Amino acid sequence: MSERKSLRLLFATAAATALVLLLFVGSAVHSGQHSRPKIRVASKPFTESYILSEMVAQIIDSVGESTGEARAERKFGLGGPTLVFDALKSGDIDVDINYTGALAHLFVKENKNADIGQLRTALAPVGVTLSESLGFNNTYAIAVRTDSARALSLATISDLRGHPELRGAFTPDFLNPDDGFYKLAEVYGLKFASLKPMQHSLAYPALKSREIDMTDAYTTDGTLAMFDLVLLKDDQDFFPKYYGVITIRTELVTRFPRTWAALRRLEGRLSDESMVRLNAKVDNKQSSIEETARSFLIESGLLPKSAASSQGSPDTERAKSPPTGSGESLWDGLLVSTYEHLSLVLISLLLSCLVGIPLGVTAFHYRRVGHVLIAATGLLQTIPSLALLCFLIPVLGIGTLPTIFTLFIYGLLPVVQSTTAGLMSLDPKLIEIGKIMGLNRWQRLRLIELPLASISIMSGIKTTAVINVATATIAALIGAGGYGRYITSGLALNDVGLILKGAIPTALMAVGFHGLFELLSRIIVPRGLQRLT
Amino acid sequence: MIALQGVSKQFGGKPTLTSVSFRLDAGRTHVFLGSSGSGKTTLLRLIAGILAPDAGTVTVDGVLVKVADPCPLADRLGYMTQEGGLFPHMTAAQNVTLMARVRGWSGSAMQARLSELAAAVDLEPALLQHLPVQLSGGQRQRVALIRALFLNPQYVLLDEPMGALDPLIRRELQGVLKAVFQRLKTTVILVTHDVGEAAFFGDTIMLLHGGRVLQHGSFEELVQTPAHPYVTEFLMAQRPVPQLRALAT
Repeated sequence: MSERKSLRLLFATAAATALVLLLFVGSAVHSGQHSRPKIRVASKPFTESYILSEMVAQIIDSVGESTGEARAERKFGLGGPTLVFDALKSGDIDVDINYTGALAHLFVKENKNADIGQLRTALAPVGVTLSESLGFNNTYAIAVRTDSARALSLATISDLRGHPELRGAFTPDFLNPDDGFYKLAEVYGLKFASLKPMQHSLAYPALKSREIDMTDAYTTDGTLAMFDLVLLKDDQDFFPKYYGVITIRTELVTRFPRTWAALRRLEGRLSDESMVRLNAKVDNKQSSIEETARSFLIESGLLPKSAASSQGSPDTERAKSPPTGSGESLWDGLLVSTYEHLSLVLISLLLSCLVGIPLGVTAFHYRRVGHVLIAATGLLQTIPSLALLCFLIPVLGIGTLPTIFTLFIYGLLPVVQSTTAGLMSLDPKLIEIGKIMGLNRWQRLRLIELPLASISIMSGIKTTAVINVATATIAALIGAGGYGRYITSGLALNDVGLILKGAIPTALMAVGFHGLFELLSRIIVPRGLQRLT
Repeated sequence: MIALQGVSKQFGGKPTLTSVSFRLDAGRTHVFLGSSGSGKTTLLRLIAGILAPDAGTVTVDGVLVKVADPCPLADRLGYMTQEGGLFPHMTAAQNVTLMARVRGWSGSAMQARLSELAAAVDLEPALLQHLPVQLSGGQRQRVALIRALFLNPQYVLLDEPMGALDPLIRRELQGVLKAVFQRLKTTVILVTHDVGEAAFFGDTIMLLHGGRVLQHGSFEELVQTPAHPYVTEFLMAQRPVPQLRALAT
């Protein structure tokens, strides 16, 4: 194969990829058109947030169907409280569920138990308002095994005072010095011999297998019964109140008055006990999130009985709704997720190449610029992905765009470095001969340097592709879908099957990309060089 | 005609050429003879215009050579190095036609030139479809020679073109080269450290030592009227083999 042919092939491959992706994206955008304006409903990746946001979405759709006001677009499983609130402020989402204590922590620093009126005043400047309390208080608590509670007659946190031998493991969040465990220990006068940080999902099994004796928990946790745990009463009223509220962009209240009125009928409807019961239903996989939300709304008279059957939303919408393991078949939504994941990886990869290869060439020809470039792309690589996404929200919002940008940034370093390294490894005599023969800079690059460096460049692109497949799972945290949605939900719902539904295709896709690029290398790398390796 | 006037060149403070002046007449074969480090290759690079002298001037046909990228004389200059310098990712044919394709030659013109030169250097045409790694050392040098001659250059610069070949192939290729040069009547500069090769090719021979021209003349002149004791020392450096004397006659 001649150098021209291989180059043409490279361009043709890139162009074809771009074209196919554009068509795909175009059709996806097209199929998303509906007549009613949409309200974007967000949830965070934990059971309660999924259920409550699902209720909100179902109410919006129900009101919309009878009045034509709006329809819900679900942006579920978005990562981290600050990320979601930033998206609400910037208008990338319209409504979600929040907790009074968390809002007070962010907006009314001096008063952790700020009431709803105070919170409304504090949130008004950012264009967000909130409902009254939905009823339940999902605050922190200390959980112990039922048998140790009985044996040591523990009912309140004060009862822990006489038991320094109890081994505690708390989430890193809760172990902060300002308002977490240490403050609690000070207020209650508690002392323990053994304390360590541990993730929630690990702490419960550790309690059950008696490796630890207590951990922090949430008061509406649905899995307490499953692990045979009880909560100790906060008898000194230490923990702030975390009443569930609906937070919504203020403009929507006037734009969709009937929808907002219907949503506010949720106020005061959910006691601590009913929230625990609903969470448990989903956590124990008795019922899907969608069904759990629907049956509660129907029982409470907030949805008409006719809504009992599924409303048959289009497939794209279906994929956006939270996967729940139960009531969902293995292949449901997998096609859409694959498409989303693949587009994220391919588009960002294409961008990394289009920017990275020229940068690598520049870095080779101008060594000083090169050092700066390599250092800069290396530095970008070290930014944690979630942090990078947070920085990007004010600029690019949430969804596909910031995810592609993030993947593009991460993909730059391997491409730039492999391009520069490939060019540096060339025999300078060959370049000089090219010069003497009369090839100008561009011709040498095109005909000699890039083809000779292509082995190295292709391996850099392959690395980027494989890294991107794995990194693209974060897309779910920012509402861009992909296989990550199963992993996020699976982690949130403690559902191994669901995690695997995301993890296995991700691994397969990574292997697939590896193979694909091995194959592409055979086509793109000139035959004369393949013999040498 | 190629002329150098008072040319000096240093690399990292170390003088490689000191005040070199000479004229090379057109249409003849000139040999730069000397041991490694004598400055032979540096002279070639100065003439090709990819290296600028620290002092002095290089002129080709009366025009000052100015360093530029790419080489300003490219189309008038053929170039060949010790290992041939073929591009490993291109077939022999792609290597030799590279500049013709860049210059937009027609396919038939390229094919004609290719057949003509393959015959001239005695290379089996089928080998042109091979990659450099698939060719022997002698075949590679023949391909490199075709590449150097392809655009019909006025000047051919050869940097130790047979340095890496074993004796029989070397001898055979020397014959091919000499025949080609005699037929084409191009101006040839051949760099070598081999006295026999210099005597075989050189219409004029320039003996270089430590960056200076010790003597410039015909081989006979170097032998009969050496300008410096080193000239004789260098010419006689090759150990004679008395046992072979009988075979030579």
